[in-house]
Amino acid sequence: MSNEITLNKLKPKQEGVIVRVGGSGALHRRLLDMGLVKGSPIKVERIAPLGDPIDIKIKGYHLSLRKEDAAKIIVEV
Amino acid sequence: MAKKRTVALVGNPNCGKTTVFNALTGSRQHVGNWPGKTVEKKEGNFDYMGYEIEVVDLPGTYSLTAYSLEELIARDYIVDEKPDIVVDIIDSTNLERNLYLATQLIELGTAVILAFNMTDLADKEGLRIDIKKISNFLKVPIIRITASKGIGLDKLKDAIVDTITNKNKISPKDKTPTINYGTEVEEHLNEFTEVIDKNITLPKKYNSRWIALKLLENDEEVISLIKTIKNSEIALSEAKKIRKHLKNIFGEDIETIIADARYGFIHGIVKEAVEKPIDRVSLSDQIDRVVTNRILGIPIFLGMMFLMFHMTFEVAAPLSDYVDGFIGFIGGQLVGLLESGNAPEWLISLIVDGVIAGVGSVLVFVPFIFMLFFIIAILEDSGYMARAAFVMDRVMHKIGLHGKSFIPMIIGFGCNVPAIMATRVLESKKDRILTILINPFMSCGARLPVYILFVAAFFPERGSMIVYSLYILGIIVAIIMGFILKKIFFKGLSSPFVMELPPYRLPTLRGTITHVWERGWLFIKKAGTVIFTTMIIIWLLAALPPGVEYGSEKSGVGMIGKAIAPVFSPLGFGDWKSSVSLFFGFVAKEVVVGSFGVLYAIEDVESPVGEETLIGELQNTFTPLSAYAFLVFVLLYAPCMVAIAVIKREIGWKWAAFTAIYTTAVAWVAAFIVYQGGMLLGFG
Repeated sequence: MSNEITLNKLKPKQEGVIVRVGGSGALHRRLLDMGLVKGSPIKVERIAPLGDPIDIKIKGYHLSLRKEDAAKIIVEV
Repeated sequence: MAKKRTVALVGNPNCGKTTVFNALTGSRQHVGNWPGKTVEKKEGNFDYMGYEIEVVDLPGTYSLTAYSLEELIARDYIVDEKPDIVVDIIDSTNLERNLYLATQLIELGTAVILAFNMTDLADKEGLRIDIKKISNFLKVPIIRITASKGIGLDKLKDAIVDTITNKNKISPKDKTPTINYGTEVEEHLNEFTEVIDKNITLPKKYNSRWIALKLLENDEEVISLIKTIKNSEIALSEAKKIRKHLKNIFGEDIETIIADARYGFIHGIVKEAVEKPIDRVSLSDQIDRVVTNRILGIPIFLGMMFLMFHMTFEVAAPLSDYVDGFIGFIGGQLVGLLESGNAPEWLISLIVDGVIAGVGSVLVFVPFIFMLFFIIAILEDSGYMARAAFVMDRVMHKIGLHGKSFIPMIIGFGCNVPAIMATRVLESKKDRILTILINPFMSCGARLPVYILFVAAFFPERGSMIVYSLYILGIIVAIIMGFILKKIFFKGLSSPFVMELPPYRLPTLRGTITHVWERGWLFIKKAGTVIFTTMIIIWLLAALPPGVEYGSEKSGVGMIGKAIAPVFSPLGFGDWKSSVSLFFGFVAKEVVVGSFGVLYAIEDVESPVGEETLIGELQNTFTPLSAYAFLVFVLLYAPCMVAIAVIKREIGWKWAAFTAIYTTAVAWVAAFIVYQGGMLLGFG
């Protein structure tokens, strides 16, 4: 069974597929522009030494996001 | 006469755009300003097949929706200025995201050429890209290049000329749309396009499908453009209706639907036209395993910062000594020449005390500044700066800033002027303002000569400790003030931290040197003009009114100093000469040293004898405690007027004036605490 959780809950090296990108205004647009769109595979590569932000791999490149923003992205694992 | 055409270079950050720009234009470049904006506009040109091609290097951007000032400039130029041709530089190793901007450019209807750059790296990764296929899908010419090695540039130039002469046969008007958004959206889009065509007279340069699409996307820039046109309310209310309708049908806003469709379209193309080997762990990933490692990340970061400073000050110091010696030599020769030519004494004094001292105080600095900029450029170009922001974001976020604010803060250690300019990478205006407001507390290179002089005079044993403590104090004050200012002005604001971690790349020598030169030149220009002028003014004030003893109490400077001295009495340095030095230090902080030299009538503060005399004079004036209080004041008070001028350019007069006043107030309070506290503790 598939399971939908928010991106910030993913552990390092865990992969998922984006289901929905929330957030509002500029953040929402920015995430879409950077390729966080429905159906894209996404992987959490690592967490920053101080626990935030996280480094994710999307569309073949690395992007860093804060956990509070990652919490607005729903992924299927 | 060659026919002139304009080509704009666009592309995502880190796509190698600047390398392409350099490779195309060589030395035929100039830097100007965007009209009404403070961001540098880099232009260059080349001649090819009877055309004079003007190339504009636009700031890097991920999409045509602008988030930062630099992105807005790129967007406005492409959309409103309409260059003849847009060359979109694509990082071949990161096709999907890079092609996103390309699809937007194509939709806009401009003549687009895609330059697939870094094909050597793509080959190395085993990517096999069928360029012809992609070109057919997108209906635009694509050229393979490797700008760093100069490969493919002639083909790119050919493509530019072919597009000019219309050999590429791409006319935006009669082709079917490249991207199809699906029946439902397309139907409404077409309908809406007709509504716009029927009711609104658009300026010729915009195509109505694009305008319709942008209005449906709720693009702020396009909305405000439309608002200036007659009957705009019809289009705007129609857009609102369709947005609501589509949201009801899809359960999602139309921005999401459109972005999904664009990326879906690109994904389809890439799947068709690119063969990828199975994902291996790249070298860049391996480096990141160490550099951003949970345990090693912070120590590596601190090590890098230490190395940066060590390199700057240890490597550049001997160079600075050479420069110093050279200036002394030139000065001596000049004086000899003047004396043998029977020049009047005032002229010799003007040249020695004013000109030579002024020029010298600037040039001695150049090696430090260039070395620092060199290291910063390497850190930026290699990709480490983004990691530094990644590692530090948590801390920066705590004090109300953004991980990226870290970069201007670091540059501030070199010079606040480029640092303030570097805040342009920040997306939110409020982040920018806050970062600029606290940036002056980062102890810039210009303050160092003052520290060095006082350390030599009062703390020869613990010199580096004292200097280090000042740097740390600056950081602490910046953090505290960041916290307070955020509470006062920008309560509850937090901008998203969505930042690419680009793959590590070996910086190219040319790229690094260009970076260093641009920033370094800015410093020299600033230093050369402002500081030089100041030194002359000081000389005049110290020599006037006629007949007074040079720099005495009765001279112009003496009167100024006496008037403001009482303000500094509680801080332990209420004598008029210190006041005068601080007064002129507002022009440029290192002038504090030169002013002391002029005021104590020391011919050459750079020479060993001159320095010794100056140290002796200072020891008579200050105690170690008041000397430290003085240094704290120098660290924190109003940044030099060049920095203030830049703040004014970046965020306006009000903030510039506010910065000058509040930093001085903070400096006074801090120096007061140091001096009075030190007295109480018995250090007096």
